[in-house]
Amino acid sequence: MIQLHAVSKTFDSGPLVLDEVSLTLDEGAFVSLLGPSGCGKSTLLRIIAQLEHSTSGSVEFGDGLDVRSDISIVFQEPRLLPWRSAVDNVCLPLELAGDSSKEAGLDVLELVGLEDAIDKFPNELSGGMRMRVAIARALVTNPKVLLMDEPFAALDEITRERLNDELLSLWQGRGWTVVFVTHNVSEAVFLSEDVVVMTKNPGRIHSRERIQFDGDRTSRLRGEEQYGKRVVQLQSLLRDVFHDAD
Amino acid sequence: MISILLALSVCGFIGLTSCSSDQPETSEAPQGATDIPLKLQLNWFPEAEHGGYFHGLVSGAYRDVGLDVTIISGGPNTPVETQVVLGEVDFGIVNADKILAVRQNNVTIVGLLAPYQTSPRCVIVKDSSPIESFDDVRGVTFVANTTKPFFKFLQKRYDLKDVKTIPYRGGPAIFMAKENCIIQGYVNSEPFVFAKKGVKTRQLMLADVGFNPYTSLLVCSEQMLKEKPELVARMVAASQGAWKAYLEDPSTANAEISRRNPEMDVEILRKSSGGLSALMLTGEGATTFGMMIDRRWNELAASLHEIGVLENELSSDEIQAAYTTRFLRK
Amino acid sequence: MTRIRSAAKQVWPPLLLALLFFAAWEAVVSLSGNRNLQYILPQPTHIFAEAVKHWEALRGATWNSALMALSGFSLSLITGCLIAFIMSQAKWVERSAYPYAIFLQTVPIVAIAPIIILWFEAGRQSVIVISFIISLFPIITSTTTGLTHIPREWDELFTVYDANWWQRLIKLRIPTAVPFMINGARISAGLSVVGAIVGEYFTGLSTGGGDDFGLAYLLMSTQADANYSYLFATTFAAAMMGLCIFGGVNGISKWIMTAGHFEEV
Repeated sequence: MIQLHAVSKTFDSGPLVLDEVSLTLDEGAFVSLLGPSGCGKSTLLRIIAQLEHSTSGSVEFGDGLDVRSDISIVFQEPRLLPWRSAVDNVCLPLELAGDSSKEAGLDVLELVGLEDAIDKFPNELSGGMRMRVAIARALVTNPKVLLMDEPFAALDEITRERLNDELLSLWQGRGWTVVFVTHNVSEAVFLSEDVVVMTKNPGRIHSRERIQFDGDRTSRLRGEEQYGKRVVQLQSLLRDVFHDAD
Repeated sequence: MISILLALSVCGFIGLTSCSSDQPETSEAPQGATDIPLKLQLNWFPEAEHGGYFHGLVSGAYRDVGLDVTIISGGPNTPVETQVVLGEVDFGIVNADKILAVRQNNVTIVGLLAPYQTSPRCVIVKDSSPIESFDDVRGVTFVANTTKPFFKFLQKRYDLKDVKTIPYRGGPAIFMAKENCIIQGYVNSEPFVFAKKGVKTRQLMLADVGFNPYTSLLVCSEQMLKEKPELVARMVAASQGAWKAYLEDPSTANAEISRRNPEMDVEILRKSSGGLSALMLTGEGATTFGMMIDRRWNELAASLHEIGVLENELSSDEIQAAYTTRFLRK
Repeated sequence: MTRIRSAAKQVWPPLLLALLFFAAWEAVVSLSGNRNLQYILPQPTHIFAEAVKHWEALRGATWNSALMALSGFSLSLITGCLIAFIMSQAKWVERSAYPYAIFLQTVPIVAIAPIIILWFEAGRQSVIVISFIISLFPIITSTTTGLTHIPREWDELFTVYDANWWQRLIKLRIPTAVPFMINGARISAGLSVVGAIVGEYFTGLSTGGGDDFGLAYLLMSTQADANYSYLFATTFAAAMMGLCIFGGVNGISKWIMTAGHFEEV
């Protein structure tokens, strides 16, 4: 469980990027941060990950939540080390913590469907596969919270949808808290129960939309009318937000 | 594609070949004068070794016989013999051992006048050195041009155990600074330079141990000999006279040498030229300056063959083709 | 079988061009009738004849020069990496040491050769020192760049995982620096060859009675004897040696890059 209290951020002598953002993230929730480019959503994620410091305000972590070991982050680029095989890349966090066993790495690679690629190197993997390795690496430490910063933005639509499906089903099985940054409305609607809509100049929370569907979420959801309606709704909301911001 | 490249390269070569000329400098008379311009290429920086030619220049002896001589300074690696045979210069200064060596590679130059009857080639050691003879040359650093025949002669004749060689260029400084160091030189030259810098030396003469080629000969190409013998005759005769005059009074020529080669100040040159008579006006040189005899050339050829500088033994015809004394006047 | 075929496919066009080139050269020189050409541009057949005649000397000299070049190169690799490592530790170290590195690059050999001889004595070792000095700079600059220009994304990754200095060095900085160092090594290999020959020109190899000479000695002595065919043959030998050394280093570089799965820079 994570709480943000009036988090503001200014970079050096630049403009205000985040303006007193307050947010509560419940345990086990899948929350998307949705908004136009430049609204500070990535910055917010990085502040939660402690890669940036807020200029004012604070981030509170619930009991028993250790930032270093319970929170994992997945970036937009896979950020794999080219001289390490898939399994060695995945095991990097454990290795740096002093644990040299490969078991967990192999398990998690199987989880993301790459059991046949464990000894392959990044230059031998497709973009989608590399992203899976990156996700596997984030999962190898058994995190409670998964932070994802537009992880599928650089992939083609087919691959993106496939990975969305797999991520969804993994989350449904494991129950991590996921904070997912995206600018893609359909992705946000598909994946998350909660969409936090942000505006920019400066970055603020505009509204928080609850996304609920009848029946379980599966890949079939994309063909359903309820899904399409919700997407259109949110898109027009975003358009208004855009309009107001300019 | 390939045929285009081939055609281009052939054209390139034809272009190259048309650049060089077969003829040595012809006597294009300069405006107004009737003197024939000639180029003399030295084998080293101007020194007393070239005194006679400079005397010919500054005293007007060359002009008196209608020769407009330009003396071109040389240096450590000047390819004098090649420049002569290519016709870039008319005359050059080359040692007899080198004449024989390059003639076997078809560089057909001919010796005309040999000022040194005794080779000035020596090995210089510091006065304080324990080395008394060539047999003692061991475990030292030897500043020498190891491509020269005299070095190969020493290599063959003497042990030279643990002797390390460094090239002559920059060598004098190292010789003076280093313990246990010897250096090649000409007896009438370097020792005086070293003395001036405060380093007393002794010299081991190559001539004393049997390596005594004619040194610093005036040469021209076979082609020049064939086409302009009269010109060559004038040059040789004038040079003979100039040398004799130089040995009598070297001062004006030395001033010119010093001007061209500041490393040699007039004082050093005076001492340097002072020792030349002993090396030049002896033996056959006493009666005919610059004279050469068959026996010494034959001995040289045999010696060079023995030490491996000459691959093949030369026939007496071949040896005799390397020099001519017909222009020497008594 | 197809591997040999494809390798052959790469080799025969330049080979064919070389043959045509030499044939044209031979034809032009022998047919031109210009006497002087035999000195400044000897016929390939004469050059070849001299090469065959003096095969032992050429082989020995090339071998000696190659050994000295490789020694200088190896020394500069090791020393260069060490210096790069030290320089990459702090910006102020890099800034203060850099001018000296540049000095290494720009000092003319003719100026330092006498000092080298005084310190290291005449012989092989002085030549190796000169080859080392000439080839050192590219290793220092390239490796330092590699060690200090860590891509921000990877750097952040290691921060997220709380890596310590040593882990960062071994698992991130050194692997990142490898492709940079390899680029420097390619340049360095070529320079070490130049250094070995130029170094011998200025410091000589000991020939007090021995056969211990390199290509510079042959270049000097063939020129002194005006044996231009032999001179050209020696030049070709030097070029071949340079090609082989560079080719070898290049091949090893390529192998390291693929076997280690490094990314080109």
